[in-house]
Amino acid sequence: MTDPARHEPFALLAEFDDPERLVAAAHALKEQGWARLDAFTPFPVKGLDEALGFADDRVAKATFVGGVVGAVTAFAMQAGLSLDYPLWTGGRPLIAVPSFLMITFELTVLGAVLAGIGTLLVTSRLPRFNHPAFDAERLDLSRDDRYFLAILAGPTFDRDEAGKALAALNPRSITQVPKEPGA
Amino acid sequence: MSEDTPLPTGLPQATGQAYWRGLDELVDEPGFMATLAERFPALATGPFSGEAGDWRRRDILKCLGGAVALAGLDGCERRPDEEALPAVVADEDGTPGVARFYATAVELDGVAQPLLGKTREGRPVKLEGNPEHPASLGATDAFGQAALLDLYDPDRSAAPLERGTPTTWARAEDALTGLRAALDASGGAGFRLLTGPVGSPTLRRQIAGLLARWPGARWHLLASGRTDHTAGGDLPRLDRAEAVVCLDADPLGPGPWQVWNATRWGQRRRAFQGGAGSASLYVAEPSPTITGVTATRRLAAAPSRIGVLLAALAARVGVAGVATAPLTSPERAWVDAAGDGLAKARGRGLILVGKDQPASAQALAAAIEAHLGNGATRTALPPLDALVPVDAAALLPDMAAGRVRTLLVLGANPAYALPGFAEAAARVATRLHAGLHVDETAQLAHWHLPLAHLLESWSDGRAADGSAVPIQPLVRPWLDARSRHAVLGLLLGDSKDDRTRVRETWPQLSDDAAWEEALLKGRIAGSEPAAVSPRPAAAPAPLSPPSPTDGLSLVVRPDPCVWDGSLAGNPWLQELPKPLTKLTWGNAVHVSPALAREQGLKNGDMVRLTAGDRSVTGPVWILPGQERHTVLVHLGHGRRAGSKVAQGVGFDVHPLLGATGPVRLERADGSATLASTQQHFAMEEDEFVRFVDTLADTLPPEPASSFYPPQKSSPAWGMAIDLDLCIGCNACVVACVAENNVPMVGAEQVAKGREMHWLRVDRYYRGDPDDPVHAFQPVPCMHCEDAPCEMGCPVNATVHSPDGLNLQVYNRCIGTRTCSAYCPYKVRRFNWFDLTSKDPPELRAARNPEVTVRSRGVMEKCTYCIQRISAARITAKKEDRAIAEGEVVTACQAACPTQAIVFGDVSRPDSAVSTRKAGGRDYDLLAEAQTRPRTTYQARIRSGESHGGEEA
Amino acid sequence: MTAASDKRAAQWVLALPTRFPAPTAWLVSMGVALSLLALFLVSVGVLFAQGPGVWGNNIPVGWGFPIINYVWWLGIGHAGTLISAMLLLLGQDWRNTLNRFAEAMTLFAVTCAGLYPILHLGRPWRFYWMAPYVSTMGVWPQFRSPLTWDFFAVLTYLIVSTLFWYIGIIPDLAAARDRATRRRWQVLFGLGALGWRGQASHWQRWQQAYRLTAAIAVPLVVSVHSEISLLFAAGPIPGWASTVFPPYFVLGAAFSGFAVVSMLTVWLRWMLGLHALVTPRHLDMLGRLTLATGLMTAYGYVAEVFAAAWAGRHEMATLTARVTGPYAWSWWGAVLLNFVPLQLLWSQRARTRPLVLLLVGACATVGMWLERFMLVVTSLHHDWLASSAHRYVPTFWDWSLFAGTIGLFLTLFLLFVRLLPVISAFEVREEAVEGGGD
Repeated sequence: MTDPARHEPFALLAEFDDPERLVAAAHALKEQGWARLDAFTPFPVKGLDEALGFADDRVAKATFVGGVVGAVTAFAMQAGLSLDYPLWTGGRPLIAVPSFLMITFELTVLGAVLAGIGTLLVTSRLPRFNHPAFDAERLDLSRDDRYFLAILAGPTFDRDEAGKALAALNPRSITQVPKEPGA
Repeated sequence: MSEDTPLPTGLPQATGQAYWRGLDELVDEPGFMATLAERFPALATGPFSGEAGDWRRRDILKCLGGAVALAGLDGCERRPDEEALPAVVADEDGTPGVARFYATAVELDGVAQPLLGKTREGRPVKLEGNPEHPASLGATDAFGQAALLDLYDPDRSAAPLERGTPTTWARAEDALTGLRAALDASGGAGFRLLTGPVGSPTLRRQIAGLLARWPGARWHLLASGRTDHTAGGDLPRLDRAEAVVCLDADPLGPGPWQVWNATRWGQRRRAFQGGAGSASLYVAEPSPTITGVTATRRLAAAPSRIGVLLAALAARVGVAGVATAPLTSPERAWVDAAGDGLAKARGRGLILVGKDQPASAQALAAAIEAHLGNGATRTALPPLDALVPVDAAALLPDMAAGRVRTLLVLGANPAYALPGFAEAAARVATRLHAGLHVDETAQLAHWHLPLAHLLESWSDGRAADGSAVPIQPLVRPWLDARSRHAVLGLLLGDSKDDRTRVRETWPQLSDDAAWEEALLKGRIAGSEPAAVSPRPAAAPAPLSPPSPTDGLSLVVRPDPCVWDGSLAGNPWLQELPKPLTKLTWGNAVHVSPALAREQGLKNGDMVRLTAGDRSVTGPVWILPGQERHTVLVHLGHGRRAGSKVAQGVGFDVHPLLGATGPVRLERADGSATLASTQQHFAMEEDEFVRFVDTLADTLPPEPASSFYPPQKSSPAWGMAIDLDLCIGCNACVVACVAENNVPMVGAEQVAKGREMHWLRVDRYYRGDPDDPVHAFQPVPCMHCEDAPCEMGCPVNATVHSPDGLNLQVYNRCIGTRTCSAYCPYKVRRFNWFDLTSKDPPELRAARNPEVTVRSRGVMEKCTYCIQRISAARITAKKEDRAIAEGEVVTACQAACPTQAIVFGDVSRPDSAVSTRKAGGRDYDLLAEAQTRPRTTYQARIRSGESHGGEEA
Repeated sequence: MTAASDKRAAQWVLALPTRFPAPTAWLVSMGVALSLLALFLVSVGVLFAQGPGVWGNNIPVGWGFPIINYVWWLGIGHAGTLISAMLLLLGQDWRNTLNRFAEAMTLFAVTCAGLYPILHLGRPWRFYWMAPYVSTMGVWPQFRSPLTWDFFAVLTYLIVSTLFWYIGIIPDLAAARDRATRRRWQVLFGLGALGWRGQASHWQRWQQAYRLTAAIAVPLVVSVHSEISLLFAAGPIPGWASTVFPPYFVLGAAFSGFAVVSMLTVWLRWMLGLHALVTPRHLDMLGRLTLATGLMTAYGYVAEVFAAAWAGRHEMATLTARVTGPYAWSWWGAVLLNFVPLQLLWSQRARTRPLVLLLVGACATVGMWLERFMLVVTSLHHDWLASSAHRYVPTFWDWSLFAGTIGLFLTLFLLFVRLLPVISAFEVREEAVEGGGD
């Protein structure tokens, strides 16, 4: 068992064994005014986002922007390159808008998807191969059928307060996750 | 490098490893470095002339590799003859890149075909007709075009053979000297000379000398059943004939007179189109010929019915005292039409009867002509001289009887073309053969002497119109071969050079000015024969009664592409689709659809064809329009020696020549794949080839096809092909092959549908397969203004040029084949394999240096001869003017004897091509595909009557 | 099915790679796949050494097997995306057991498809000239060409479907990573999982990305196969130039794809014993999808015949040639194999029988291949001019390369089955807990 006094904590975890109780607990802490909350779940739990007050739509925005950029690039590329080295083909005009729309559409899609998924990774700081969460006992169960609510340590973090708050939710267990691994 | 370079000659005759070792020794030879230094100063004083000995050696070897490889081509005397005079005088030192044209000729059956030979850097690269000569007027036939490749044939005989083993001319000369002595002693007894038809006055002069010197000697002629025109005869003047009746005769067909007749027919038909008189052609024939396809009225008639038709025709035009036999209704209708046509064109009619018909038929025809007073439509040619050769048939009994002690075969191949020769030859003590190849006869000969090709020798010949043609070399022989004159000269012991011999034949050329004039023009002034009055009309002799028609009748003709087999070694001709069947690489037993139905035969089934006691076996080909019970076979195939190309292709039908007795056809085992470039010939309701009934009629106008306006540019190249003039003779196809380095692919690939011809001549028939209407249609690239192929190409490898060409950019093409998939005309050709890089050096030398040789995996197609266009553009630019009308002539157009193909600038209303397209018979092929083709066609006119016609 | 059983099933799925249940069956299949793959390599070697002449292609049939198989493979690919994306958007939770390997199938099918146009080229080593890159020639691609459209479409499709599949598998990789005991598995899954730890903030963004990509993937599929159809419809060739082609192709593609998914489902279910997860309900659903798309394809046939009947003589001639000509077997074969066995699927009992589904799927797969053959060959071998008509006969190397691509597909698919969770465990669990819960 680790000695908390000697270790900067990363977060305190409360373990639940079904998603409803997790959501309820999250609501409770939110009402008590806890700001730095997060959770670790095996799948996206319905209602958890509202409970924790997450409303991040950067991925959606990025997808839209990426799409627009892709479309513009595509059309500009086709028109520009057709003019850069003008060659007559099939008696058609150099700028044949209908035929340019196919590639325009494809690159719209490509731009949108790349931007969306790119943003997902960047905003989530992924990939990341070392993280305190990896060393927390039992947290690996959050990939299986356990649901963890976390109070993240911040500048004004008081682990006793946090401990009490979590204990009040009577979880299956409470664990502390140290910042420095291997303690 | 110059011809005295020791490099190639200093090498042992070796190849591969040995060859490189040879180079090695060469470098070590004392004094070599000195030679090298003077030949290649760069090598001696170049970067690697330092002290690093090994370095230097290796580099020199490297360079020599290239140098000798080149020497292989240019070292072997591929240079113009200093004495030969270019018809279009270029700067005398022969600037590289500047083409020079020499007037010369090649021969077919002893008839000279006047040509202009185009040479580049001393290499002949293309043959054109000689516009200065009346027998060519600038046109050629397929054979004339293909002669270039015969010159470069890698299978040509390179050295004398004594009993099959290579030897030297020195030893050959000794042998001939010995022979001469013996003949002088014996007065020539037992000596026989066997040749094909000889049209060369100089050669005949030599033969005359031979016969005079050795009275015991005989001269035999091997004509394989074809006429020897040197004996004189009538020359039809189709240009003057407004109504022509052909009975089993094929004046427009392949052969020595094709160019003469076709050019004249073209003149007549064009005059007719211009409203000057009629141009009707009535043909009755057993098997469709291109004359029959061209006919305004055709009848499929058994050979045995020709006499009957003639008699009826005579009666129809009112010749008295002719016994007629009953006719079938189609025969009656044809006779009436032909008779009326002749009657309308009284005095301007012409009746041609095939030479297979009996003399009585010929006489009756003459009687009809006399009755109608058709004198002006023929010129009678006098015999070339007093010499009359004995027919080869008479030679065999003498040989068999041992009456022949020495036989000299000069430029003929009796062992192949004369059944029974081989056996008879066994009794001949001394057999000599002089020819271009080590052929069947050469293999029987004690002595084989390699002959030089006409394009590399001095000679002369007699053209179709009887006028003489000087033949000058385009290039010096690079093989150890001698001309036919030189060989006879050796035998007779005169050592003059051929040029002198030829000049001696023509006293009127004794002064150099006249001689040079003759060489430049390609004709010997004043050599035209004096017009002899046409033969007197014989009294109509009684016709031999028609033989019963229930049996089959056999027709044996020379092959339309490889002729009598002497050209079978020429891949251009082997892969040339035969006009009516589109068969390549071989021959077939042609039967009528009716006969095929009766005997349950389909294309490719093997059959045994028997005539009397002789029989051959070959695959069947069903030929719509052939008379029910006629069987047609072609000579010229089944060659057994002399050419890798010809051997094993097709089957030999010479045994059937002159065979008598009933003709039978039995199914034999198995079947063969015949390589035909066209699988479907029937044109049902399609309008690929369009017709109008009379001169006055026009085609309904086409609706405007596209949303976009037509392309505007000047020049705007376009082509017009008048199907009313096209006779399907294939000259354009071979001309295109020669001009554009089109590779040949062989029978197997042709059968797979991978032939590479840029220009094809489609052949269609419509109506009852037993008696259909035929039509030809040459199909090059249409150069569509709205080209689907261009839309398909993802990499801009086929695009449109400002002057309206549909360009194919080989080095940009990646071979998606979308262009071909989208092409409604399927004129594009794809390099499925690497077809060119393995060509032997001879064939590389034959290539046109102005046309890219295509690599594997790229698409190619007709370019409208863009190299000729840019040549004209460059000239025009240099002279600061626009390209003149008629300045650009495509290869196909140049070759066409009837001028069916016209090319030019469609943006000028006055150009010939615009005039054609403005006419009422102009139409787009597949207008419904809405491609706006720049190549358009003019519909055929069914009638030949100047003022309306009843035929349809 | 109960939530508890599903949870167990999910854990069991995650454990599949590490404790593989059917090593023998897998090895045998892999043996077959690898030998076909070897055939593929040989065929490509011969092709590159000698040129496209080793095939049966000619003029007029410049497009033969390569284009036929290209369209066929790509069509198969589409089903994966449709099952995964479209059903996700429609909230069809049952798709969770199928989407993972259906998408994998998409990837590998598209890979095979993508190879063909390159191998098809006369000069394959120049394929990159289709891309707009700065070349010394200064020439650019021709953007009016359907081939250029296809180049971009297939490339986009490959990238998008790969990403869609990948972000879908990340959570399971993370789970597998955490339960793996052997080092090599931990590394493999760990790298793949990119450090995923199921944090709620990540899940929230992940869901946005996943659903948006799905929403985009559906029209993408439609566009891709429509453009493939334009490869034909843009050419002025009787039997091609038809406006019915785009929907006709897309539906046909979905049909052939669902057919193949059904076959794979039955096979995996048998090989890995997935009966707990792949229940008769799933087979039933697959059967319905196949039936539906199949019937729509049938409608496409009818529409095409109808169109031809009105489009003038050449179109009509081509249609007659298809039905009665030398290649009539391909037309009738397509009609019979595609639509006759299909009728079995009207009955639920038949739909839930694995064997029936397998056979119907096989028939449809072959039938759709015959349809592609018919579309390419019958139109080209006798298009406008009677004179240019010529038969097309595929050679050994045509067939060997085709078999080879099947080998390539199987190899990739078997590797996927062996190394990765073939079923989306977390979605199964989600369905169990939330779907099964309420």
